[in-house]
Amino acid sequence: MDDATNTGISEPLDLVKLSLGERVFIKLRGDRTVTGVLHAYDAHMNVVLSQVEETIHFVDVTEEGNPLPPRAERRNVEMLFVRGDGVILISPTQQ
Amino acid sequence: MSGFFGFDAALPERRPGQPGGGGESARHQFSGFQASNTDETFALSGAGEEEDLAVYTWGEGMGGGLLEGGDELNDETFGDVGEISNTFQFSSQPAQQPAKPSYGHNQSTGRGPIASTQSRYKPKVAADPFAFSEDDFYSRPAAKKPAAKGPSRPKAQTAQSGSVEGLWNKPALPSPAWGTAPSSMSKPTPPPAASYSAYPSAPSGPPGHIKTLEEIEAEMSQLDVTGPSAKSLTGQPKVLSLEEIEKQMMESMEPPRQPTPQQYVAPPREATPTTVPGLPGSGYGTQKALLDSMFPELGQGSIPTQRAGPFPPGPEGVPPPPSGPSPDEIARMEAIHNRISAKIESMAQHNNLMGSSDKDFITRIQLSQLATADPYTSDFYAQVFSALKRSRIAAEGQGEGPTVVPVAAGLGLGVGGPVGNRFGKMGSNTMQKLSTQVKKLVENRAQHQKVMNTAALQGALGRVTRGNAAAPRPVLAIPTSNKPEHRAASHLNEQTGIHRAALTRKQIMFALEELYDAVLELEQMRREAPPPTAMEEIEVWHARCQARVDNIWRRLMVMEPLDVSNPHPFISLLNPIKGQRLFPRLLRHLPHNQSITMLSLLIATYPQLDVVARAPPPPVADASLLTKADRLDRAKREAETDNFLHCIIPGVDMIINRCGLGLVAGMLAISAQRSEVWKVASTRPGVALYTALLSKAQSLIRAPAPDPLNPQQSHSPDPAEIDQWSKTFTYFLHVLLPHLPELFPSSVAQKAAFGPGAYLLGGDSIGEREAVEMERREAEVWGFAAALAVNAAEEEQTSLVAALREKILHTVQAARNPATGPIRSEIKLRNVNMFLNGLGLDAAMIE
Amino acid sequence: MSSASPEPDAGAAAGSPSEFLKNIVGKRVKVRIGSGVDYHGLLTCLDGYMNVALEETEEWAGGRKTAEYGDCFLRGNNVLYISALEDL
Repeated sequence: MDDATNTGISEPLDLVKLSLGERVFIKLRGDRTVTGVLHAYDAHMNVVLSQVEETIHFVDVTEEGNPLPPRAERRNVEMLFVRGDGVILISPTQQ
Repeated sequence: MSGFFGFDAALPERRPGQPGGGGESARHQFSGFQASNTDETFALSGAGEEEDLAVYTWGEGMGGGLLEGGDELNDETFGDVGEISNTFQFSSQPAQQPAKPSYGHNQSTGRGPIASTQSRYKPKVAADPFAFSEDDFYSRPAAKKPAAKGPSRPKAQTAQSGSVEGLWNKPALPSPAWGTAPSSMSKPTPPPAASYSAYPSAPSGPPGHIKTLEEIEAEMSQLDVTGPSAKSLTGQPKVLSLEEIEKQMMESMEPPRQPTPQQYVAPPREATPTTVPGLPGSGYGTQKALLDSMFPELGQGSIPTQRAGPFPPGPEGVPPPPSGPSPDEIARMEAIHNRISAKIESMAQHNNLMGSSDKDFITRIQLSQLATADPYTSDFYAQVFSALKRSRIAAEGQGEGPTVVPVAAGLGLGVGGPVGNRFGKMGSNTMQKLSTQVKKLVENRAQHQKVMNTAALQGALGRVTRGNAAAPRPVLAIPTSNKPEHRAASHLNEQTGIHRAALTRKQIMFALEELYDAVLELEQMRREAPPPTAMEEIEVWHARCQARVDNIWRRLMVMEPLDVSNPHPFISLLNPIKGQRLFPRLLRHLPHNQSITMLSLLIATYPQLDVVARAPPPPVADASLLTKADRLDRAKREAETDNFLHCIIPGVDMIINRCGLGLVAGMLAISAQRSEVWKVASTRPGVALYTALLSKAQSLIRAPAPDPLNPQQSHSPDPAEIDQWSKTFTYFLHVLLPHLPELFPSSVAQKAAFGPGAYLLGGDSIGEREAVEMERREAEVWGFAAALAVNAAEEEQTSLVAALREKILHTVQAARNPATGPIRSEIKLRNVNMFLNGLGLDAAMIE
Repeated sequence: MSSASPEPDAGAAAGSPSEFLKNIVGKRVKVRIGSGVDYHGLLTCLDGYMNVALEETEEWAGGRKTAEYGDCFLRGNNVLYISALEDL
């Protein structure tokens, strides 16, 4: 609690605010994740990122229906706008 | 039901029909459903008709034939092939029996079904062999030809044909139309495909004759109306399978039929493929084969039973059916036929009865049914059906419960009414209903959406609002206990003097955000300076700005005790790239003394900087040797370092440039005392800082030129300051000298090169770009060494050279090595010379 | 320590949902989101959108810990429920 007060985070959006200009990890619907430098956001969690790496996670299934090890497809985008309604989670990347 | 089906078919086809030859395409468009129905129905009926029925068929088609055929076909199209008979029960019986006796449906149906069924079945089976009858078709009355229905009658029947023809001829008028009409053609032709093919051949029929579906419908409706008397004949109360019905009908009709040759004819036709009248040219045989292949069971299985029924009537004796209809029957049949043909004729008058509005109407119904909860209310067919059914039930009264699945009670539509009535009544009535329904639908929709948007539940959880992901709404009013005033900066500022934990990253970030806000505010305020004339306002404005600056200063936490934490809060602020970016913007607003203070603090705590404490290791030759995390970490640290050099160092330079020698000496002293100089110097930020300090000092000592920006420093340095500086420098150099060679990135790389990472050695195997980058970094250190050289006393210079001797030689040799690229060798020489020139030497002098 | 049901303690302890939410700030909580994934962490704060900020977050999916985040922001529309993992 003290920590929380100390950081002055009074609402969750502050957490996002603190990540402005920093690299964030964003989990999106549809098994997608995105990391990039957060440039802007709004209350809808619309977000503008740069130096983005988008990852799409697949879990393929064999013909028998057994899941194969998860697979990921990545791509890099210089600048990306992410619409807020797809956002599940935002976290500053650990470092 | 037959009526409906007939209608169905008609409606869709109608459109095609209108265009005239477009029938085919229309069918296609309508896909299998109605179009196909019609086609098939007709085809079937046609098949049956081939005998004579063809003529009827239309009339009958309306009633029985159409139904049967249509149903079956429908089923098939829908995948329900097997149950034809059942379907039939519905349509055929209800239609026939209940349908007002007047329809003559019964008769027609009776025949129709028979004919049709037979035709279907038999033709396929038996008929196929005979199918060649195209010739027959053609040979037969030209008049018939046009009427596809008039179809081919077996050769055997030819004799009968005469009589039949008589019947046909009458219908011929109408029939030609049908036959000729693409749409009509299609009807007679069994399978759609067949019908298509038939068209081409059909040309024989007068094009003008072609009737549209509408016409057909009209005719059919007329038939219905007129039919009644005939019905009575066939009318059998029970809902039976088609076969049953047929049988019954056959039986009942047999006596009368005999007289009529046509009927007889019919049976043979069935047997003979020729039955397909409309299809003449189109290779009827193949078509039939197709049909057979499609419904083999139908053809074979049903044939016998049906045959028995229909055949008997064979008037001319030709018909194989042993049970042959009695003369009475035949006569009766003939009478019916006559009636029917008459009807058809009269019906023909009503061709084109349906206008485009009617069609629209139907379309609308169909559309509305897609959206309404009660699809039957405006379902024309359902209503007609129910009307028919009701009437049948009423007629039956006594009898068998309705086999038909009850359809939602519809509005009684006057199907049975006078010809003109049908649409008139229904149109006005239902149209209205429809339009209101549509209106309602639209309104509902709009309302619904509105409701959905604002739907809010008042509950224990507070106001539950249905927002959506894109536009969320607050679900709950959460009490926020944290006031923004509890921010880290002020919090920390209140407590002084004690060691505390370093700021958490979150705290740093928060403080930075606050700082950003404050700086932005201040910048905005600066921009809104009042006009220089308004003295008072300016003062107020100044005061306000100053308040902001003070606020910012406080937030920077520069005044926190030096050892309050490690890293110092201020350094913490400079660690993130975000904070580094803020630095130059801050600097602009801070007064000189504050910036000096800040610089002092920065230098004192320089080792705490991330870029110093966690300076990136030298680059490796092959990045693939690193793990991904390693790579990322390096990249991040490199980025931070670059950013630091880009954002902070210029500011530092600027501040240092404003400093007098005493201050510079003091700063160097602080650094030398508080940190392991060589460690700091082994980082790029450290090198940059020291180089700046040394350069400034030397420039102050050597050329105390007046600084326009800082007049107070224009005076030449105080000897005491110079003395202090030299002492400080001596100490600094003393500490640093042993490590001097190790400051070079190439040296570091060399040391590390024995590890797993093949670090860049400035060797030959690395790419040009990396090599140049390496040299560039080397240059930074050489520049630092040069700064040392210019500041060093003579004996210090000697030791300096001694310390760097190997490095110098190695670099010069490398530069002269032909294996080294020209660019790199040039850089190397320039680097070395940067240092040597500071000593008054040159690389050229070496060896 | 009720982890199964959304806010059982809340009602009992505090009486109103907002009271509950106020009380669990700073506590360890479990936040379940629509996809069935759970996030365990220290509840930093939350707002009326049910946006949630957690610290020391662990992501649990299918009975396994699938990720950890120092801080994390959960967009409110995904939140199914929040339950306290420690006594209030």
